[in-house]
Amino acid sequence: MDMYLASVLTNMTLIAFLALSAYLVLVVGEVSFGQQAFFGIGAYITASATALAGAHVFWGLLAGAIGGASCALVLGLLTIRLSGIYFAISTLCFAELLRFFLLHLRFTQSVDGRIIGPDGPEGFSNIRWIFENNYQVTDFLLLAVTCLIILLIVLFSLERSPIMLGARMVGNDPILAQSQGLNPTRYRLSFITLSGAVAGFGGGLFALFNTHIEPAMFGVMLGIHGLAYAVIGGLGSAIGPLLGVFLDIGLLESIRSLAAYRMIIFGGLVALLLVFRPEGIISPRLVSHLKSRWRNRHV
Amino acid sequence: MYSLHGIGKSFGGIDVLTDISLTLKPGQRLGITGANGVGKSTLINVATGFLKPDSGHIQLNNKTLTHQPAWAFAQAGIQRTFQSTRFLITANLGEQLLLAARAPESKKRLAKLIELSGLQASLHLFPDEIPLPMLRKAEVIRGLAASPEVLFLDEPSAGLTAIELDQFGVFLQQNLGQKTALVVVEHRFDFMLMITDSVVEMQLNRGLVEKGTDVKT
Repeated sequence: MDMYLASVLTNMTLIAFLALSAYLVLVVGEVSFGQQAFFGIGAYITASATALAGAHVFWGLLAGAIGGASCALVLGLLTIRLSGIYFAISTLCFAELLRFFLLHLRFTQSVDGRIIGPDGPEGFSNIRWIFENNYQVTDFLLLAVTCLIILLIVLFSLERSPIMLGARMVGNDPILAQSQGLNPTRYRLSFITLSGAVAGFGGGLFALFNTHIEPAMFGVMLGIHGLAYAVIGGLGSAIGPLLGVFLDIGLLESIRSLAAYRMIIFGGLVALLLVFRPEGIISPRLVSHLKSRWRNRHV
Repeated sequence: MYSLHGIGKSFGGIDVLTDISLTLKPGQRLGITGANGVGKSTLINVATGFLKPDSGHIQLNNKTLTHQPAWAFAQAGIQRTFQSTRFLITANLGEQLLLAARAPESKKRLAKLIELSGLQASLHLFPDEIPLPMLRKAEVIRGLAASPEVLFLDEPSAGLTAIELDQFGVFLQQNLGQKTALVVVEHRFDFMLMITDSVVEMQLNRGLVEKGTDVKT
């Protein structure tokens, strides 16, 4: 496979984790501008675990996911009484807080003549796992896609269980959800924590692939893109955010020859989508409709 | 046995409920009538946990529910319907009814209720594609699936014609079951007499008064 194509595809796969984490928060009815922070925390933890502590990559990624989940749980507990715009602002502040923490984090060590570890705004360089294990871009793509598929299998089994419908009910109408005996707080906290784990895991892969990370990479715009992919793709199914990523990055890369004009095309496309499919391409109603048609045919 | 003891609730200094007490035995059917603004809906909201009372307590089978959240009321078997029907419009009706029936025996009961109500053909539709009389039935079915202790209906007649209301009443009578107590808040007296065995009137600042002992306030 072409190196360029493989690296674009890998980037799409990594950003898909961020879009899916934004999706999980949107499902319970909240908008988060802070998923990039969990992505960044995951990246730093995985980088530290593999490059500094020499842990196996599996444990490194797991630690990244747990780190992201813990930060998200803290955010969820802090914002337990907030919703709507107030929740959104809090997520933004919390994310910036974590980014500033990374900006001031210095813990460098010299390993084999190389400076390794978080070095404030300079970031974390020499995450050499990918070289040490002789991974080509296509090998890494395979690893990332495998992880994404495993995540999708988990999300789809969640989608088939009543949990996801309960979460959507909590997101759309908390009063209705309560009248059905569902605890909105528990749903919100679990989904926000899960979203942190997904973002943290994706961030870990991002660190391994990029070999260098710095706090500036995890700014607000990253989170807004993740959010936009989920909104464009639709909240009906986990496929929605993936479609959003594919459309955005895929389209932007494929029309690169148009130079600056491609942003006009992309902006126009987003505007058209918001006019004609305000609930996203794969809207919850579309999915519910398809599901019942599928069932009718097979009963 | 479900009971409210000395319930009081005020909003910004205006006492809406003062010292309301009410006891419901299993299978009892009670109607509550009263003028607009005397606090009938507030009473339902307090009785089902959606508003917290300022004073008094709420008990179900010797368990105190007063300070529990609304979802715990629902789990304990206190079900309700809403003045304007409430459904998730992004999922079809069948999925939502199934969500209300989690235990296997509830699923069986739900299937039976759906059959009796004639809702089978609407199960794959979205709530905003289903006519109101059907949605009212669906809301009651959703409440009854798990054999609740008490079912509160908040103005079920709103938006129904006389014939539709009559059919709705017959459906209720046939499917409430022996265990469930029913409380109906209503303006339509004919309907109330049809489905309840006693009616109380809620009066401003006087609480619940036996219908017939009419005292001008």
